[in-house]
Amino acid sequence: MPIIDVQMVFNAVTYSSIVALAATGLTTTFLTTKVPNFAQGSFMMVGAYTAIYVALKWGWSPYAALPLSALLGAAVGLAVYFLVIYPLRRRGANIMALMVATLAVSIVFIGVMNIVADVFESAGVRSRDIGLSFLDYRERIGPLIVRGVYMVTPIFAAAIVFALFLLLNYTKIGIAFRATVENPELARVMGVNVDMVMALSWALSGMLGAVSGTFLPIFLRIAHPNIGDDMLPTIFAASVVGGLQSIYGGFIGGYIVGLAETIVTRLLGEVVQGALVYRYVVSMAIFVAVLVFAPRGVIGLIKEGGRRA
Amino acid sequence: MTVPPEVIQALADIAAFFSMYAIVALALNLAYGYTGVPNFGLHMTILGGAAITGGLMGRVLFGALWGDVSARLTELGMDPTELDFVSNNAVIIDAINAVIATSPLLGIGILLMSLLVAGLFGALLGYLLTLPAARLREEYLAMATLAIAEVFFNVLRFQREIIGGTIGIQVVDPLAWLPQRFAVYPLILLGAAVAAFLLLRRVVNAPLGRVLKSVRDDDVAASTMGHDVARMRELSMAVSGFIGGVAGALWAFYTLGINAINFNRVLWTFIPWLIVILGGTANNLGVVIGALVYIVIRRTIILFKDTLNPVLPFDVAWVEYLLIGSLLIIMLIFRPQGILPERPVETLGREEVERLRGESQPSLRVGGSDKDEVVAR
Repeated sequence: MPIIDVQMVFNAVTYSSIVALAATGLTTTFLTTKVPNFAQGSFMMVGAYTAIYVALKWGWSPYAALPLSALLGAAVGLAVYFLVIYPLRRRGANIMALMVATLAVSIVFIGVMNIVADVFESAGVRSRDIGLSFLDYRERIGPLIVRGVYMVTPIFAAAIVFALFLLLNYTKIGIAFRATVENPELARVMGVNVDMVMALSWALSGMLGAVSGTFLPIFLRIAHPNIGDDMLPTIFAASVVGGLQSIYGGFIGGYIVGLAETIVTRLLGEVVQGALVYRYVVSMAIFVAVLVFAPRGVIGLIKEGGRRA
Repeated sequence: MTVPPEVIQALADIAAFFSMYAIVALALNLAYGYTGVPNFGLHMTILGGAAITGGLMGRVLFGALWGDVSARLTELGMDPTELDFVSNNAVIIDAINAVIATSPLLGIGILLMSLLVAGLFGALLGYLLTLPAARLREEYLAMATLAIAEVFFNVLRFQREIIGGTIGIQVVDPLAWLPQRFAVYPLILLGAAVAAFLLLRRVVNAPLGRVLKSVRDDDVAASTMGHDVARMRELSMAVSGFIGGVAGALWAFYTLGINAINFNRVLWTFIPWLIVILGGTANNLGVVIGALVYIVIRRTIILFKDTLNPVLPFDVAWVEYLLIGSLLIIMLIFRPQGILPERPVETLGREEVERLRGESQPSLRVGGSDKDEVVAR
């Protein structure tokens, strides 16, 4: 039996796409507000529970939750920006204060999402330890099980990154966004509404987080209210490994870290007995190594290499 | 007068939780508040200390008390040489506890020894967390410490051979000889909190404390003045890790069982961060008050649990996270310095300084009155 089979590759790519979407969201806000957002996992939970509600209460396909998730995620992102980040920035808070504030937001969300799950349960929607994979399209082709999420998630992730590319390069908002990232003061002088760009980046980040979270319960067999928070170190790892200086860093890093957690761990399992449970150890080790030796990430390495040549 | 046991139990629980969070937040305050190292790997030092009690001391005692323990196990009809420390953990720990119950001196020795080893291991882990510090800016260092701690956490969580992995293991009870141990033990924790507070007050008011603050405020200036910035960060994190390790061991002896999942980042890094920011960075008394506020919120919610839970469609326990998180955001916006703001270093009074100078350099006084005039001028 081959060590890497097709089924595993399907799973790995799907998982990586979910991580990539969330990490792109993290990178977006890091670029504009310079703060690593500890609440990125909370945005995912918003999407996950929207999917659970739409699928189990209304009986729709969980994919039909995507527009609603995106909207709710954007709303939550905006709320975090206007209630927490904006007032703090206006008072001249430093990065550490902003970071602890996002940490506080994630703690608030642990409470909120668990309350939401409890309320869903009492409304007759099973919300703890339930996945939506049984509602997904699935077909058995020979030894393979092909699921809808295997196709939708990577295509969706690729489409979103392409849309981001178009947005950043061919629209006025995109140019304003890039100007704000490069030099906020100069952008302000040139007439860019920096606060609005930042608000948009938080909305976008919330949207990306919630969308990636929507796929989580479809992909997993079990979801619970802390699942987004559990993924937070992985999302951080993906963003940093890819490179926090570029919007595409999260996307690239998402696949590097996602594949490392799944396929590399599997390969390690063949060599070292019992290494299979170490998926997070693998991704965190890569994370630490990148932070120490190449803090600008893969994209930083590519750029520096290009300059030197 | 008899106090109902459940009241004692509740009071003991409050005292234990408060002391533990006070100790841990004080340790974080030394690292972040005074030295400016954004330590998001605090839970690693605490878990490390706890793992020493369960994983190391348990095994050491199993070997060291082999004669008595194996006799007891044989009495129970087991072959002690066949037993595995993790798989047969409960019976082994029971047998060790039975031995400790006969000898208070042994128990106290075990307690002190464990705390020392756990502290040293915590200090080592704290030092480990500063290794990337020289190369990284604050926010990257925060993520790096978190990642290092998560590696440690996940290894202990899944590697069954160390502290039982996902099942966890029991911890020997150094107070097994004490009939009222659950009422008495929180007093030890409280004492440890007071000791940590006094120790840290000495540290931060000593010249060392001022050096640490200078490293935090401007590391370039500090190194220009001849201070080894990296060494200072390492020292601060090692002391902080020592306290964290001791706290982890103390907590393990309180709960008498450890499971890595109970030493996760939310409970032992994120919450202490909230406490430090809430109470006041670089103000130890403020941090203790912050811990008190957290415990009061927590206990108040538990108090209303029984009355509110049947009425509400959700578990009131979750409101704790909601409240503490919102409170912190409000504090950050409207009072970022915390409940008690940072104060200048408490220096000795002038008379005390003169007295000390007189003691250490008696020759100054020899010159008589004219020399005093020169000094005054």
